[in-house]
Amino acid sequence: MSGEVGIIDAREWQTAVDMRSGCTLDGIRPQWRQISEVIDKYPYPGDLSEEGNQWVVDVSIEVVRLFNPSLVFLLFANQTFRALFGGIDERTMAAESDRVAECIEKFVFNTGYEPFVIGTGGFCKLKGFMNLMSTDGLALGGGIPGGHIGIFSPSDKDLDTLRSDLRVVRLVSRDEFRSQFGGNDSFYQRFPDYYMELEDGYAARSVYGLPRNPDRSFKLPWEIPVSTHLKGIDNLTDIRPRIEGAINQGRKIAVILVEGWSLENMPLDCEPCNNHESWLRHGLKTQCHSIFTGKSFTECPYPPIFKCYDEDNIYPFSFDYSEPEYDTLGQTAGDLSVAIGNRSIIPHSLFGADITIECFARCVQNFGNMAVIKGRGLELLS
Amino acid sequence: MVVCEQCERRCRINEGDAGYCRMYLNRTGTLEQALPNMISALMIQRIEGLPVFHFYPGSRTLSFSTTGCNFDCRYCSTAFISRVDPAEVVMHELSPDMLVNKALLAGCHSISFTTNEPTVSLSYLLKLADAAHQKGLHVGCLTNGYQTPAAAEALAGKMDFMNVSLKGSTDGFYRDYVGVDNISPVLRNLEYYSSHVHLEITTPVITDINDDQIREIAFIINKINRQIPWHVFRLLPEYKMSDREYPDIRDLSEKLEEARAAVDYIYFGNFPGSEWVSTYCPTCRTRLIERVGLGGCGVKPVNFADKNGLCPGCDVNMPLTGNCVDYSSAEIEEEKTCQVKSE
Ligand SMILES: [Zn+2]
Repeated sequence: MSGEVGIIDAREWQTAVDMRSGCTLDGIRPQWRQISEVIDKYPYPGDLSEEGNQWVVDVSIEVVRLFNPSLVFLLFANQTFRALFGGIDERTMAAESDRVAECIEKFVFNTGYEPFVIGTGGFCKLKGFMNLMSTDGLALGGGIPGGHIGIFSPSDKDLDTLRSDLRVVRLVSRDEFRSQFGGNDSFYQRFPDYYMELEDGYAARSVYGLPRNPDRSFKLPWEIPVSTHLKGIDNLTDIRPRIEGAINQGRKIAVILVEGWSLENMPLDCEPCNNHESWLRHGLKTQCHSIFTGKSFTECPYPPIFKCYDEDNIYPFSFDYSEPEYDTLGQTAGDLSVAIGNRSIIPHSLFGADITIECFARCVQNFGNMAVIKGRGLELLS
Repeated sequence: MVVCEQCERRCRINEGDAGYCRMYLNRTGTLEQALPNMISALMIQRIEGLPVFHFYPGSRTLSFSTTGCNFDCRYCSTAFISRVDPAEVVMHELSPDMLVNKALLAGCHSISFTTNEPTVSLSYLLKLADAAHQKGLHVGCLTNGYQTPAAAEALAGKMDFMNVSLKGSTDGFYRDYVGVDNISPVLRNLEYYSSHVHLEITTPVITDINDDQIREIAFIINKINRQIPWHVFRLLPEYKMSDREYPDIRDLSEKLEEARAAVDYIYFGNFPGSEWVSTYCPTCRTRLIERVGLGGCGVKPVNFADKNGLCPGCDVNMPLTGNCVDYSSAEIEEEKTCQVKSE
């Protein structure tokens, strides 16, 4: 067995797996029962259910009561699925945004943790789709509209066409990108031949573009809102050292990421924090990397977009990620960290908590829950 | 008025109208394909994710979809593509040659028509098969099997692999939950495909609707060929039946254990962590291919006892078209060993 155990709950049925190989373990050990009971007790209501965020709060209060960790990470993502695929209007979105604030209040009231709230950025009206299927080269877009696009083996004609397209705000080669940002080799081994960004509001139709039509698109903000008593948070990479400092003073912190909250609509007192390095504005993945490792996103093995299907070796439940990052806030601060989130894969792959509980949803289909135990979590539960 | 001969609905389409699937039109007195050369989505995945388990296991496929369906399953899990007005789906033009080029660029071994029903875009799929075979790529599809005999013959003549959905065992089920008169065209085509193309069968199971038909469906497969791989798909309650319970994994496992008497290769998936996605020798129970069930159509093979499917326990071959291949083998320049259908 490797250093990471997954417990899957597919409703009234559970199994334990080795996260590295994906293979089934011989049953759920009695020491892991507290966790398997939590994921059985709180079935995930689904990405499109308006109860999705309540699930995060209920699970997190229970997990904090059980393990009393020094550090908690919460990710509220229900707004994204509801805004993009739930067919809701602006008024409903605003009301649901207020309900996230109530969820945070409830968590804080019940646990006493000091909240450090980060709005990861808002949505914008979908202006249209850009067809990248018919390029001569291969264009890969993220599964959810907005953000970063990779072009592999483009023809000269592709590059001319893209350069003259007014919806394309940036198109840079791997070499140009490297000379601008630097970073490690594995980042650039995975990097596309060309990196591209579209104007906010346009969604790429390419390989991995979702067949579902979203109602809205992500907006990539230059700054995002942060609500905290900690001072000196100008950049995402400032967050890790400040939180480590607070934990060392014996404070108990909850880092709370809320999708859909921007400087314009966050219903809490907040300050702006840079969400960019030079001209690159972060999407959720590079944001998480910067926050949880405290390093530039180019020190991560994963560029914002890459051919994840090339990676056929390990960590099959982690989809894009086959090299877990161990030097993260969740693995080093305090004595134990837990993460709870209602977006699959990102919490266990990028937050690096000792114990993670996340929904198991794929393409907004609800398969159940998953818990991942590693590092100090496995020591505690051995 | 023209009669559409693609599927057994045999729609009689008046001038200015469209058939049931809305993908065949009569504009000027002849049958015309709606949205020709238009596709709705592209995705790179393992062939096991389709699911297809006994055709070049481990290989990489480029799956694509168009829009529309000739069935109206009340539990449809892809209604956003299949059961909406085709005019509302965002589609993009991609010729067969361009789609083949994408597959080659993405290091795929095959191209698969998935998500919606290929019979509604049959001419595109047949042209694509010709273009793909010229470049040494395999082509396959997932279908509900409701084609006319002529369409079935055309399809089997070009496809390298097919997975046909056998949704129930009775006319009543097909009438009440699928929206067609009877099951017999599907059974007729299964019989035909079983001797003309690599065939696997999928049965989506939903609680209290067709879980009591497992035994009968196994019996149907047994009569055709007990070696056809059978995928039982734990359907999440969706679309018009979203108020239903999740199918009970233990209960279904027991029913499938009994069905082993009739069908040699039974798989049970669409839930993460399933142990029913590995291949076991029906004679000596040696594990021949170990796979990991990832949920959401993800299945990853992790161990092969033998690349050619020979059981090390009893020296019997599992029914396998092609050998096990490395998922990334088409990424590197190497001679393709695939045998493809000639035109
Ligand atoms: Zn054997």
